[in-house]
Amino acid sequence: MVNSRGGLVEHTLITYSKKVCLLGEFAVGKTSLVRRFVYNLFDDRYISTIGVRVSRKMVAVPVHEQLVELTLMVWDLAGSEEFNRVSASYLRGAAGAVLVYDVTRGNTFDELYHYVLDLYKVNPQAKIVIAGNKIDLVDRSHLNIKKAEQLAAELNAPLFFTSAKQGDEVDTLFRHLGRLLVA
Amino acid sequence: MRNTLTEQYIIDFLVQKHKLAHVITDRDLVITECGGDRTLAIELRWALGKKLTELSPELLGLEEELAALLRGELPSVQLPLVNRVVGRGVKYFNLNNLPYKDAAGQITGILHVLEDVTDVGSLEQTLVQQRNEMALLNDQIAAQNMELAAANAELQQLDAVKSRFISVAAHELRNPLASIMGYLELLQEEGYSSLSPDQRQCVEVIDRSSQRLLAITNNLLDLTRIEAGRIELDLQRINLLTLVENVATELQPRISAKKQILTLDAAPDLPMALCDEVRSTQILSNLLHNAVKYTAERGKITIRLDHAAERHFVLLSVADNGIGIAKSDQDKIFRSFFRAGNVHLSGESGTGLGLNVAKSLAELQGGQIWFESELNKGSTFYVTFPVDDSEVSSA
Repeated sequence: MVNSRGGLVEHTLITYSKKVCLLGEFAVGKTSLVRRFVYNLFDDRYISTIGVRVSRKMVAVPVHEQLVELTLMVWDLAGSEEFNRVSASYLRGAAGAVLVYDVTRGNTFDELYHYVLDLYKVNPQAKIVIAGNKIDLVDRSHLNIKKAEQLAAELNAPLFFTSAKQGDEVDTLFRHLGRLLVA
Repeated sequence: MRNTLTEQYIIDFLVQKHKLAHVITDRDLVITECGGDRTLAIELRWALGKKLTELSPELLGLEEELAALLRGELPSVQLPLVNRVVGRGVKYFNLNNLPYKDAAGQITGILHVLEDVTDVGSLEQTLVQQRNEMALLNDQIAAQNMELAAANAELQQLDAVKSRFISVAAHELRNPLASIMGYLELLQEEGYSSLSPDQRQCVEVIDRSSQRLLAITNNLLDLTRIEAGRIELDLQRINLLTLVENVATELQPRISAKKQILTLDAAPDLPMALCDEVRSTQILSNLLHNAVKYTAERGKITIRLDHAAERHFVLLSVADNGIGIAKSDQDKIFRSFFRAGNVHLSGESGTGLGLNVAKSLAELQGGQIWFESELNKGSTFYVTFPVDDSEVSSA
């Protein structure tokens, strides 16, 4: 950053490490979102995740004129039944979560409430963002977003329509969550 | 002493069998010791002197939980099925964190136990993958079924509209047609002699066209009745030979006009059939009309009556050496309003309803209809009629 005299403004660099979980039904694209965010990669093949895969990515977040170096520990968790078995042990310590649903499968949205309840049991203060993923597969003008906006308002959680395949809004989604975590 | 040794053997056995390795940290979570399964323990040596989170980054974000372990407030922190990407594959570990105590019972650090469960994990992954793919497929099928049901409902609605239209149109056509035919009959009976030859010819054309129009409207009405399930059959004991003779006589003028040769061949001991006389006449009339229409002048038409291969049925066939039906048209020939590609060449008009009506009526009576045909060589249509069972039982 440059000041009015043309010199560099020095900032104190604060570092944080936060655990965030990706929650949602199977095959909604949780692993793909992580791969896109962390490695900028995408693979069309569907490989079910069991258990948890932890990835790390550092993002720099400006907070009150200070730059915060935030390491996001991104926990990619199994969806559906596999998640139910171990949810508490995985969610412990989670500062935030990305709730992911597949915009082409309405039932995956309905299940988000269960994941929210599980998360709030472990951490009622957890910050949440919602991702309607696979937006590349639908015509945006035909998208029914009323329910999603309603949930977003209830949870006070920002809603993003993402495409892990094309990269749309993926980075924005995680950076927004990062900002919520250090605000 | 012996007991201690035995216990040690058991522990060693379990450690190897379950691929267990461990590291021990001090209270600052710096690794001070490692051991367990030989292979795994060797792999862990690099971590000596490093922070526990460097060995297991999955513990980042769980600082509060680890602190609670050190304070003795939590018995354990477990992370089952942690995925670690190794080369192109994935290894699965259960990570167990326990408070590590010294001889005096004081918590001096954390015992971090790693259990390699890749075998079980891989198996579970395969099962979950298959189950999830199956569920996705079911979702797709359900969605497609829903689309099909919606399309089907629309088609049914369109079909109902079409049937209603045809029914109304046919009824509306029949009324003026009845008047035309009535006056035509009057003209033929009473004023025919006063007409000039040209006028007579005109009257004959009007008569033929009226008859054709009547046949078309009748077929249309029958089609809508069949589709709506409103056809009622009056099943009677019928002599099919008599019925065939009547139809042949009725069509004789047309057959003679084309100088065609009609042969009737009937098995001597034919049983009586159980069918609706009017509808059976209609079936045969439609088949014979087609044979006459699509067979050239001086062509041959043969009607046969015989025992069907299937017991308790009489087989009627109408064979001609006419234009035949192309292979590409054969699977569509019984569809309503379908006319084969080559019928236009014959110069004969038609609506494509006769065979559809004949098939529906034959099946309504419990029989079947099918055909054999070769382009430019001719066709043979077969119909079966149920035998009157009362005759069979008394025979």
